[in-house]
Amino acid sequence: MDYSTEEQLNILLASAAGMTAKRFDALIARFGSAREVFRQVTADADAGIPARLEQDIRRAGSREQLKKLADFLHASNSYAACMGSSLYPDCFADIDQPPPVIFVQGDISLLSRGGAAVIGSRHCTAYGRRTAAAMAKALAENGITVISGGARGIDTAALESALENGGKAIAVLGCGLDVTYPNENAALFASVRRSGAVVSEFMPGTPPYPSNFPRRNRIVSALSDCVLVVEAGDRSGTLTTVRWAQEQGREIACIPGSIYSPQSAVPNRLIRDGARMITCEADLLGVFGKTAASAPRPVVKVSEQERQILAMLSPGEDFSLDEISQRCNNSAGQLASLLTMMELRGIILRGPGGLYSVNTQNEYQ
Amino acid sequence: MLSKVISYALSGVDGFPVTVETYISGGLFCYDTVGLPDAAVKESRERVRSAIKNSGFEMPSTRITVNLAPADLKKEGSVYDLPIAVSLLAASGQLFSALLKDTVFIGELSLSGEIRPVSGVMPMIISARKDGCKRAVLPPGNAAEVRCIEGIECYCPDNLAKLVRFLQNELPLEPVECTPWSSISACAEAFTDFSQIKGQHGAKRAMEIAAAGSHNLLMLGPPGSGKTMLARALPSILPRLTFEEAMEVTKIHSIAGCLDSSRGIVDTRPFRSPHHTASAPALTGGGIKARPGEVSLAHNGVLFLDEFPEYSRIALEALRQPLEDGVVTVSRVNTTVTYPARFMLVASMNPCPCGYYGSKVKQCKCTPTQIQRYLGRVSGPLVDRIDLQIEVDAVSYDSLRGTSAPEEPSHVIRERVQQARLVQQERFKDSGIFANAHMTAREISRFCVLSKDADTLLKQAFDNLKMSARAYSRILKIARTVADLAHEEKIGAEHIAEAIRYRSLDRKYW
Repeated sequence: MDYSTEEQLNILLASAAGMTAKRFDALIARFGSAREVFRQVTADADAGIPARLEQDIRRAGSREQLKKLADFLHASNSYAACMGSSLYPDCFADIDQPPPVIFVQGDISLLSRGGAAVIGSRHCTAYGRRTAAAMAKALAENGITVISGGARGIDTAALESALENGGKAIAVLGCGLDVTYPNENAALFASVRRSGAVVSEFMPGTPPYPSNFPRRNRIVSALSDCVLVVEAGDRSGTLTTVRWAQEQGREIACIPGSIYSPQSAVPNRLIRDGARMITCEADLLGVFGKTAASAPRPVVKVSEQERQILAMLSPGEDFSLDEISQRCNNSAGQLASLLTMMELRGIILRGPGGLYSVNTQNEYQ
Repeated sequence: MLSKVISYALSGVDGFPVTVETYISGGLFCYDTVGLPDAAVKESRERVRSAIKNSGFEMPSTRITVNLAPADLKKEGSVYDLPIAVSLLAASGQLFSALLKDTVFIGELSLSGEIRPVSGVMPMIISARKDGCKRAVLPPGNAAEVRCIEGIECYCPDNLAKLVRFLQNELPLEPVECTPWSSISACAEAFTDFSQIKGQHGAKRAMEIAAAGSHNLLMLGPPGSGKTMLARALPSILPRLTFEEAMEVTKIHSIAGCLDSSRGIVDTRPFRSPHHTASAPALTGGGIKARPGEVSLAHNGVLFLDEFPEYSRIALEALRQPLEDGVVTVSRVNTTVTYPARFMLVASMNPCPCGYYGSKVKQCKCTPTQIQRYLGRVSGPLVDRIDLQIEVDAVSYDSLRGTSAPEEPSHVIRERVQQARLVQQERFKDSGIFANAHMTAREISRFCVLSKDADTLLKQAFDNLKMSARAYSRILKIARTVADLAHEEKIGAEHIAEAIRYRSLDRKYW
């Protein structure tokens, strides 16, 4: 898409560090155009703009910034939308302080179609990661966009699962779109760009400052119809997303967890305080008015030996090989072989520490 | 008068002959030792003189020249005290020279004339036998080392006086009695027994496989889960040393001077566990004299590295070459020596800085980055050389209390291991390898024939479990050993399935 100089100047002005939607509107109303604003700040004359903001605008209007923006817009499927532009998502109206400009790479139309935010702490448990993946899979299969922050942990698990299952995903970053953070997610973001959209309110080249992340969370909640909290500890940044979602009037859904697990403290508390409890994929799909179980759970035939092992593994709990071997007569070698075969057939899952658990996605006969 | 006596010196793990020549001429008293002697050899002059006098002989009071040939190689240590003394006695006419023919003399002298033990005797005697020497005179303290060497008569007189009487056929001495290897190796024992370890069946099975195929093993687990105890019990299930292996090990230990003088021969597989502050030269060998390091001392045995990531990066990377080649070449200014270093690496580490990632005992507090960084301390190429990677978790209270069935004792496991080794010895006859772990790509394609089921399963595993390509040959090697333990000619699906379980670090959850 081509952008006129006028539009590009608008974007640059909007991307200035201290810029808010309110200030942006006021500046345009007072000076008529972004070009005029830049002219005023470069001229020595006192334009009546606060000194700090004036400095930020001067920096935003520099030649290198203009070059950076041109480079960004030159890439395929890259967009920048200022407030008031036709591309600017309507849902941002719910944000108290909406971003004056938004940068997008990928399918920009996805932004106005809603979806479910699957969020949680970076430091998550195997349970959290597995649940996030399962929920994202259900959403993907039902054509609901999965929105997340692209951070480590729950975010990554949700995005990966959505894409693997042929769904759409939006990653909202806390840095410029040309910056990859966290580094190991470079491949993930590339595939989100292909079958979804990567979004940021920060000018390309902005490093991932810690203060960026609570801000980007308001975009995560705004883009979605429902915010699903999978796991979060007491000091997790996920709390800010929940607060934004409450302000913006988004539905809050939570995955319950063990009362002893610090990572489940926040969702458990939210459930107590009235958030919607999600105990299965159907619960989540219900929020979107869809009936679950579009496909019945696949039936896996198991042998007598496998049935014995399944009987020992209570769902949702992890078991080591030694614990299983204590309760059956097989030698460690036979059991190791049997468990691996069961794992390959998707009957059981193996997590960190070599612990096994039942795959509850299937029906066993 | 001139006299010649044969002695031996060491170069690496092999001995070479040194001729000790003494010439006594007229003139004022003067005593010179030539032929690149080090300080210990030069000091021998005082010991030799005192020993000769205190044994009731006469020290010549004219000009004495001692030459150690070949004259261009450095001579080290106190090995030459005895040969110098004997050659001096011969040169001064106190001993008939013809009596010294084909006899090797090795030993240090005390001032009173007693013969004291030295290090490195065994490789010297083996070389001497090869060179055709018929008789050797050694310190009594080294007698145990040579008791398995046939074809050379070793005599161990207590002191110089007795030696001279023996050489002159005045005092009969019995040569060191040759002990057959089987009777020595049979009585080697005394380690932690597997029956003393409760639970941990998965880990024990992995150790059995590791021992059977000489595979390297990495144990991941929280603190207090028994990793170290398992490792210490490992020697109890290792197959017995063969005579050739024992000779190689004893040679190295003899050179390093760490032989147990009462046993003489290393009759059990060595188990070396250097502390994690060990430097790279400590592991690979080094020092001015290019001494063997821990990897060589662990030759044909186990090198146990507890707290793997705590070792310095340089030290760990230095292990790569010996792990690959089975030998280590130590180069120093004066010498370049190649020592054998075919050992089984057993390492243990925590899965994350706090130690509890993936444990049921306690919740892990580490961030994914911290875990990655911790695992990153052990480089990929090194981990790649470790066939078996297993997770060990703390044992539950029930198994600790011993309510469950009695544990299998080590000797039962060892019997299975021994059987599997026999199969491998038969398979690799004359190919220079001894165990499945040492197979190269060519042997893998020849000996690791998969049944159809096994092939399908392996393909499935690669697709489903996202395993890395480098895991492929490792899985085949382990599966070969698993099949050997089960006395199967062909590798079946169940063997492959079990082998896949032991590739923990290839999994995606790290």
